Amino acid sequence: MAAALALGLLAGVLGVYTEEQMASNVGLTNQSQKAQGLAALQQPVTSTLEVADSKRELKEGVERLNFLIRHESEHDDLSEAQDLLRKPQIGGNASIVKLQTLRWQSGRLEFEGVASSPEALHMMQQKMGEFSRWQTGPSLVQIHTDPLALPGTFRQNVGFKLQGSLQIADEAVPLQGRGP
Amino acid sequence: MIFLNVLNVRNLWLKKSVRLSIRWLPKLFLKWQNRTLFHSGMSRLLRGSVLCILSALMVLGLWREISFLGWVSSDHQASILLEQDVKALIAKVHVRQTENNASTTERRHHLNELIEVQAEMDDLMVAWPNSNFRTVLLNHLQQLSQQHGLAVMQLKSAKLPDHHGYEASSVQFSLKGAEGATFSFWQSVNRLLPNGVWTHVSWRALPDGLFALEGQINLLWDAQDADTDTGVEMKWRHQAAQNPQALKFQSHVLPDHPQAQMRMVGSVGSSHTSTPAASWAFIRSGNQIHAVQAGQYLGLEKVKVHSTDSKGLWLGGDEGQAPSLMAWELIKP
Repeated sequence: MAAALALGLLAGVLGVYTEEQMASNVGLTNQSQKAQGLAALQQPVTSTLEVADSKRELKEGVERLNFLIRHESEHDDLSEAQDLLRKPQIGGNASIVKLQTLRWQSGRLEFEGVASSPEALHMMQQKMGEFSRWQTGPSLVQIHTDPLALPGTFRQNVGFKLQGSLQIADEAVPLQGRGP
Repeated sequence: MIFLNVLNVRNLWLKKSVRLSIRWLPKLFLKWQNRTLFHSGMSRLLRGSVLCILSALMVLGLWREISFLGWVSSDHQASILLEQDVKALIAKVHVRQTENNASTTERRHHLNELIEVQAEMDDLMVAWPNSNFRTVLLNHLQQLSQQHGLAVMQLKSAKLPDHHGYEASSVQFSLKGAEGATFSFWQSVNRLLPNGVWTHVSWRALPDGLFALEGQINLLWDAQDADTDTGVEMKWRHQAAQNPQALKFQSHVLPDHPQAQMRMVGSVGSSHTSTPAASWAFIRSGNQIHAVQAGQYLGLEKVKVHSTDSKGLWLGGDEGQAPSLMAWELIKP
């Protein structure tokens, strides 16, 4: 019985030794995996801060783009409206409408002149109506017979005053739908 | 049918077990009573084996228990803990990678969008003059007005607060000339400065048949383009033009004209530089118009030009004397 007991104890000790050896080997593998995991955790990652930064940059970019679109639109609108207004003055119809005062102020138009006849004035208004981006289309606010304006030039001089307005920066073209 | 077969097998097994127990248990019990149960070699071997296995298991169990309690250091216990750590770490890495992939995708999406936005902005700004053009803008406008035969009443540049990262400035001018010339000048300026928005522009017929053109254009400048090839070349040319040798700086202007005949008819100034040398005044004497700036001597009296402001041109002022004012030429309403 003592021999069996001793043999059992020896087998137990051997078992413990074998188990420890195996655990040691497995431990080395686990250590290696742990090191790899830690290295993976330490790698630089796209943080939420970076994402927020890129989102902010995009938002600012879109705002700048919309600002530039408005800016260009405002420039182009005034240029086109101005061309329509002034072409009859210096072109072939120079004798039809004469400018006295033309004022653009923050998108608002005020035009004072003398037309050779009511028809000439009507034609001019029609021409101006071709421009589609008026906020308030040019309308006559004052009209009077002006025989003294250009003596000897017109038979039925019509003095007039027109007012209208273009879209100004704050309420310009609809913004683009893009954005974060 | 299957159910009946299962029942039959169970009954058969029970009968067999009962028969074996009836046959062997009394014998075993009898041997136990006679103390001869474990006397056989087989039984002794069996008993020894059981004892051996139990003692081995006891050693293993005892070792695990004391290593679990931390009384001894055990590789096995450490390995178990390490394995738990590794599993937790792998889960964490997995979560981190998933989050990272999502963030990277989102960021890449933002950057792609930003590139498109930038491309659209570049398209809008491609026609803008280089920001270094600001340094020669007033000179250019003055030359343009001369080409159109217009009289410059005022030409003034001022810096404005930045807008959306763009530098801003304004140019105010007041000119006089034929109606067609003023409109042609306005068109030229409008084409030259697509980066501008007119806040105010007006034409007014004057009694003498000429037209007065007044306006203000607010301009945006992309300061970053100053370092491009175009910008550097423009800056170099401007610096060369600023060279006093190249300009042939005339120290005495209109030396044969008395001061009494002279009137100030225009001025050009920039708010970018506050030095008096950066502003010019236009002086009419008879049919001649000359540009003068601070430091030059003027007229028959050879009075030194001091400065220009909204009231007119200030002359003299050296050696403790009060400066005298040459007023603006009045425009008849």
